[in-house]
Amino acid sequence: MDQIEEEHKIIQLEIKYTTEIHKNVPIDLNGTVLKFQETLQELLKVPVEKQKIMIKGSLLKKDQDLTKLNLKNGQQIMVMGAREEHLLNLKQGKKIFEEDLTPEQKAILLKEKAGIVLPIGLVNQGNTCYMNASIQILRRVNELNDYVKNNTKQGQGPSVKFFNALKDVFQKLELKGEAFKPYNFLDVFFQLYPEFGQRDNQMQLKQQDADECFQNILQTIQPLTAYENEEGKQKNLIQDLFEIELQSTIENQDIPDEPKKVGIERGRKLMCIIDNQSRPVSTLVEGITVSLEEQMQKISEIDQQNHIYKKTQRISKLPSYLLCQMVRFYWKQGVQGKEGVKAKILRNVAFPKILELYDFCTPELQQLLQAGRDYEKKKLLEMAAKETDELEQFKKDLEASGKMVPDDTREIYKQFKAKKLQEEIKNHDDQLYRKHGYGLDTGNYELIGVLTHTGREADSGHYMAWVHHSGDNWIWYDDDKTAERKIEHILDLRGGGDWHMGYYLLYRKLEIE
Amino acid sequence: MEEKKVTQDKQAQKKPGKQAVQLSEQDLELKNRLEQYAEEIIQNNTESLEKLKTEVRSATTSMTSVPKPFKFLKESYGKLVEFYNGLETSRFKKQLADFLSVLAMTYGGDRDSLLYLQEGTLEEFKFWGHEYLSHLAANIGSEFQLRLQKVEGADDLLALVDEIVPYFMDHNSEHDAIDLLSEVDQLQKIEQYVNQANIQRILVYLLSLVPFCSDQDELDILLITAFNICLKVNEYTNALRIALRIDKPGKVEEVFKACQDETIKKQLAFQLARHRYQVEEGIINDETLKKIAANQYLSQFYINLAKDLEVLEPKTPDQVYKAHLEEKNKEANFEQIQKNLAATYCNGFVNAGFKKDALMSNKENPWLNSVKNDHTAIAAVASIGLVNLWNIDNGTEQISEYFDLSDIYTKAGACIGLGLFCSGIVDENQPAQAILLAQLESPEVQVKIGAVMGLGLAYAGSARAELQEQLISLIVEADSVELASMAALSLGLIFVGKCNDEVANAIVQTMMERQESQLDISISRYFAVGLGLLYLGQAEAAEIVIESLALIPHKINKYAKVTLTSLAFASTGNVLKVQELLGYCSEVTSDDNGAKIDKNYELQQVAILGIALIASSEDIGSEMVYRIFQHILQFSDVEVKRAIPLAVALINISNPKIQPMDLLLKLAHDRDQELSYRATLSMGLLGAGTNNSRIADKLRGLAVYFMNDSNGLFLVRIAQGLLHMGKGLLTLQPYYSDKFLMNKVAIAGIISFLHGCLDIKNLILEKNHTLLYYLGIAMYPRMFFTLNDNLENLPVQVRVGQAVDAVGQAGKPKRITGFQTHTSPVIVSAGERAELANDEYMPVQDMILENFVILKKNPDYKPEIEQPQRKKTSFSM
Repeated sequence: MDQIEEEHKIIQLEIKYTTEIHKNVPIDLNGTVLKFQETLQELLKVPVEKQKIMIKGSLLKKDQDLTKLNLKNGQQIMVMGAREEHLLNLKQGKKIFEEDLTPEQKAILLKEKAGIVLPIGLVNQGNTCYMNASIQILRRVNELNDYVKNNTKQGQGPSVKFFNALKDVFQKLELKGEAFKPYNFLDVFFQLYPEFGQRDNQMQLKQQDADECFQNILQTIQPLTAYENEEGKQKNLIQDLFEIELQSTIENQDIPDEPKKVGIERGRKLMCIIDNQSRPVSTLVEGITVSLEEQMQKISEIDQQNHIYKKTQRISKLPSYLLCQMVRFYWKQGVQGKEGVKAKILRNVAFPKILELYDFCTPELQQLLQAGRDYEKKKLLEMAAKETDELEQFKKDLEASGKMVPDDTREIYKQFKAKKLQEEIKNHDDQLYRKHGYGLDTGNYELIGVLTHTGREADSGHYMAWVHHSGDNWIWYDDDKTAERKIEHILDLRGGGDWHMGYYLLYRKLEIE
Repeated sequence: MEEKKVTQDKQAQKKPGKQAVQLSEQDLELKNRLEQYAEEIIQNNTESLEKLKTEVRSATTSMTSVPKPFKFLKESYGKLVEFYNGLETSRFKKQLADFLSVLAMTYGGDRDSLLYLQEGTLEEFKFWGHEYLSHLAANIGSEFQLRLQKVEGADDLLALVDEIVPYFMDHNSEHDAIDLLSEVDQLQKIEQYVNQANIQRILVYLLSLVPFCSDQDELDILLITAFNICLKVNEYTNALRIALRIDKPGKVEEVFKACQDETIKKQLAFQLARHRYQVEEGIINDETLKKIAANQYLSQFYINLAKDLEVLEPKTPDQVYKAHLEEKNKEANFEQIQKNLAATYCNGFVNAGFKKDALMSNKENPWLNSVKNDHTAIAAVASIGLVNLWNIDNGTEQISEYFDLSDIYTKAGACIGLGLFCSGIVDENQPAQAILLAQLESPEVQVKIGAVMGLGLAYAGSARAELQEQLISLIVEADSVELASMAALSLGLIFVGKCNDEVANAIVQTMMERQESQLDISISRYFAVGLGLLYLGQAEAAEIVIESLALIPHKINKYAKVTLTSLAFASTGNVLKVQELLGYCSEVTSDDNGAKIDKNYELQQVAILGIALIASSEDIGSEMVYRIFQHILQFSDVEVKRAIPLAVALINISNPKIQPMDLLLKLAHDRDQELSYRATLSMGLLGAGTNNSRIADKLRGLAVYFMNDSNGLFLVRIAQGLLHMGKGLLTLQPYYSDKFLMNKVAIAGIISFLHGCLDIKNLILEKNHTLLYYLGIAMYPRMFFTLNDNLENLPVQVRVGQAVDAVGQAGKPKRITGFQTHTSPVIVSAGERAELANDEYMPVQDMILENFVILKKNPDYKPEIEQPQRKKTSFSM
């Protein structure tokens, strides 16, 4: 037996490596495994340490005795292992995964990479929804948002603190990535306006009026927003943005000869009077009309008698942003010894997406506006005329790009419209948020924010903000919760039931270029 | 078939009374003549009896009406019977008995025909024609049952049967013969009447009886008989098909020993490979045959098919999702772990078996960088296994480097991948065993789990004894429940349906000994599944183990009991077991005061899955079960309802019928999250490998629906991957060969995955998504390849159409409808059947045309003058 083994100490094997088969590979049964592996390294270019040699269901181990493996001439064995050249290139490193990021990191990356700002809510700290909603609306005023974010005020005064706290809130809303509590802001605000910090018997914060809150914020930061424009004039941002100039005319109804009193009044909002005894109000325009034409009693300077006067207000300077307040809350006198309450009118008052203020303007201003309005009409006609040409161009582009051209012309038109719609949304956003002062005024305003209230009384209920995002898409801020909504939902917030109803409206001026 | 006759008789009894009113002259004459003969018989006139007989016999029998003489003898029948009863025993009496036996067919009571016949001469009863004999056969059947109940002998009946059966066989009425023989428990006698000419009709009818067998003994007799007759007339392919169904040691080998034809042997080897059956050593010696039986040709032909249909190019997940058709609003473009994980699986499923994929094959920009270093990396590396399915050479090349990386997750993934592409392929060097057993020595639990899963996948159905010891020790000793339960599952897969007692004992033992807290972990359910798989389809063999389960203190014992019952009776259609399982579903949910009892919903869910499993093999059963499910949906708690989508998917896997599709779509929108998740995944299973455009559309809709639910979206993506599995060339259907055979490995794979779906949130959506890879062993190309003797593709014209049930019909009925003609290879969907379009070639032996079929020239072929169309009619991707 020994002799036979001696004779056959070198036998020929068939080596299978992936799809390759190498026949007649010699193996010295008296040699070591390592030696055999070196043969294989030469043959297969697989480094020894990576070779896995498989014989009948088991791996060849380093210290195995080859003679005991019962190998036969021509037997096939299998080798596995990677060649150097095939090695995986894992150097580029792992990618960053959304799941691993904190909300803050994610928000920062999103803003840097794609310029997207996630809609982030603010956590309610006990009836502070009026403030959360106000902040969200205020943030839609781009110019103010940018100014607050990019300026830090030095000093110790409470209003400076307030400004810096607001800045902090605005920044976090952009980059925090998740809803948070604006502690600091609330603190400073309460210091400035202690009446907002009132608590009820259970030490809960009381519900407050969002209008007051909103106006207070503007009031507080107004002194801090002064700046010098390019021509070196002293300007104030809040004034630029919100100030509305009204020319009021007071005429005596009884004595037509009495000279009219003309004056200028300034404010930061238009009122929409809903509680009108003589004439029911069901649209925003009607409400504004009522508020701008007032009857009052006054002692005439001529005869020192009480007369009925009519006060008419007309807009002489349009603001960049128009705030409209629906006057839903009023003081209801207590009857029969009962305490009075702040009551609310639930009346359905529709507000338009585009608000025309032309009719409320002074004749002088109307003349100016007319130029813009004519130009707009002309432009619209041009656009309509151009559409046929664009359709042709679209068809050509489609063919040129080598994509499948639908046979049906209706299908083409559909695609064309879809493309056009996208363009329009982009155009619309560009148009809407374009910097003011470079185009012609038309007296038209577009709705970009709605602050709603739900509930039957002013001292309770819930405030929420609905803010324009892009195209027809809006974002609904319910404290820390946010969701997308369409313009149809927004225009439905007109009241008349127990659903949320518009209380404060933010319009932005449209200019035509 | 007997029932039909009975109703005919009933009609016959009613009609005469009404019609007797209006008679034509001829009829009246005939009636009078007959009645006169009857009168004469009563006068003891022997001649009249003969005349009457001739008269009756000569009456033209038509299929639709009762022959006139029968009608007109209604009134005489009573008289004749009366007369007969008064007669002394004599030859005349016997002759009269013969005639009465015939008349009794119309007017007599139950079994009267048989009664009179036996009192008669027994000489000439065969001349009364087919209708009479069929009636007689029915009589014999019911008489036989009566005798059985009374425990009386029935030799006289059997003697009659022996006379009737040859008559049936000679008159193209094989099914009547088989019916009669099976009524009197003499089925094996059919063997002596079988010849080349009638084997097809006999076999088809015999096998169509299989689902109606009431117990295992009856089934065994039926199958053994069918097996014997096939061997008798050298129908080896059919014999093998039956042998695989019988599933007893030695039967398959018997076929191989009997067959001498080399070409047919190749065909047989293909059948073995499809069933993953491993023959005993020494039966197959020829190298080519070995290669076929080892499944080594599968990958090659599958790739050929893909080339032929021009779908070889790797498909990216985005091409599958068709995300541009979804309405979307997210601009954010982040690498998301879960999104990439879904892409990993989708890519694996879609490019399964094509050797090249869109993600892992990309060496410049490795996909591993796009997955996290955790369980998602396991999935990514393991997907190489799916992509290289059935191809060991390519698989080892692509996966070997991952074994060298130090990372435990990639190593674990490589183990699973290796197992996947080795699955079902036999290679002498056993690379899976060699490498994975070595990996079991790893100190890392995660790698061990991977190795264990890999072994289970690679050797599913192989009963490989070398692996038993090591895996058993893991079941009992491993600290990690996941490792131990996966070891149990792997052993269940390896010894699927083999009733391996040692493994069973180990699993039961560990369920007894392990701490309650360990068995509370969701993954521990795989102890039960592994145990059940050991007894898959073995019916009563599981009973002892089921009893021993009662000793387990933990509540998992019930889970195991139901799982074991349902798997043991899988695809038997056993009604008693279905009822037993339904019992679990209808347990009271609230006590008398209306308070909810805390009940084991999981148990009910397993029971529902079990019902589907038992009924899944056969169409009528599936339909009935589907109705039961509708009831459960209407009346049960939501926790119970959650099992329905999975069960519906199980009975309709890879078979996208409209009804279940709509049901699942509805459930996918259900308010209950778990239910909607399962329904979503089930939609993928329902259409797995079909590219069904309707499901694709619905899934895109669901993708939008789940836009803000990343888990839901993940499942939609996986469902989309499943739907486009193998670019539409694969199926998960475990039943094949006209639903006659069940691929145990396939069903084991599906069941393993479905049990994971019973806790989607904690398993599939957490770390155990690799359970999805168990679907890999259920995959098989839904192709039909025609080969020549040298195993080369032989393109011929093939019709593919809706299968039509033609069992027991006269003549040569069409077996498909609404067909299209293609050049082979073709793909065949669920419920479809292929036929050769012309007679130029024929299969080497008669068989069901699917998978691989070796063709030979038809010696009788005369070429048609018309040139056949060479173009493919259509193929939808």
